[in-house]
Amino acid sequence: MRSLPQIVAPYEEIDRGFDSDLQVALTIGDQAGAHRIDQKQLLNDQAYFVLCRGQLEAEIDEACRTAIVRRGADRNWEMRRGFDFYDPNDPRLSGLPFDRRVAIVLDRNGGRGGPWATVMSYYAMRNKVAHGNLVATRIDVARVVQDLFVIQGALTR
Amino acid sequence: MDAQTVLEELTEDDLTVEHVRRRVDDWADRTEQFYTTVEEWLPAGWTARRGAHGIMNEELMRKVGVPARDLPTLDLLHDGMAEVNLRPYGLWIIGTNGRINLVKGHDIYLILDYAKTFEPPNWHIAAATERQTSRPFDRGQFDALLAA
Repeated sequence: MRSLPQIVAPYEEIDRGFDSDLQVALTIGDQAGAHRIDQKQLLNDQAYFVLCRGQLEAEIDEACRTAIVRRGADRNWEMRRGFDFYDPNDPRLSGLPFDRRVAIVLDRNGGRGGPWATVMSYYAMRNKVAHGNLVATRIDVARVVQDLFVIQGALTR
Repeated sequence: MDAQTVLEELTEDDLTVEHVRRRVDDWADRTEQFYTTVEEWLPAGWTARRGAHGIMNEELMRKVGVPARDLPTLDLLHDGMAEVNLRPYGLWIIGTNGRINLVKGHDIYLILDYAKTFEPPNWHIAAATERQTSRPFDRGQFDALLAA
């Protein structure tokens, strides 16, 4: 997540420029121009959203590795059991799909709006965008980044 | 139970026409209430008038067949000259529960509602140049903005 500020800075610079252009277009009544700028902002939002969410995924993987190492090394079998199935040194954490990696570090029963549910909602949105189903909805990337930091704080290693 | 955030609305499959219609009505009410509050806060020498309407026709509305809707803008005039323009920018924005753009001269401010869906508004303001530092939108912020 250390790269998030470096990712957000150019996003905001670019979007600020679009906002200014949009305001000019609206002021002079250039509806076609305003629409073109809208479309650019939508694409720009989604590109940066995917970049930002990728930072959270890396953080979740790291937290998951730490949890596997810690629990796998526990002398108490009650704590250790099940965790020795996974190799924390495997770069892809084979055998652990994303939702299970998340479930190791966040409570799946945290309720609607809780960190686990929010991570999964962002994952669903990321999948839409990354698999070609672009959304026609703006993303407040600054606000999403704040959300990602809150989630980071909830990760239990 | 209604989706509590735009993110939930966009990633869950059970959105209904009724839900989207209620959201549009709620957004129209919130913007109207916001305008009323701003008008009440106007200091001496300032007046307000409803400006040209903008059309709200967002993706979720088109998706479920809720018709487009006109939403008014608001001009704030100082000694009869329009100096500030408020325009509803959009309701469905991931991370917020709606945004109104406030333009004063060349400066753009984002008025953002951070409340959950169908909860009382929690308006914040951020300069477009400093989006990470939004502050609650209160009378003090508004007075400072007009005086700047």
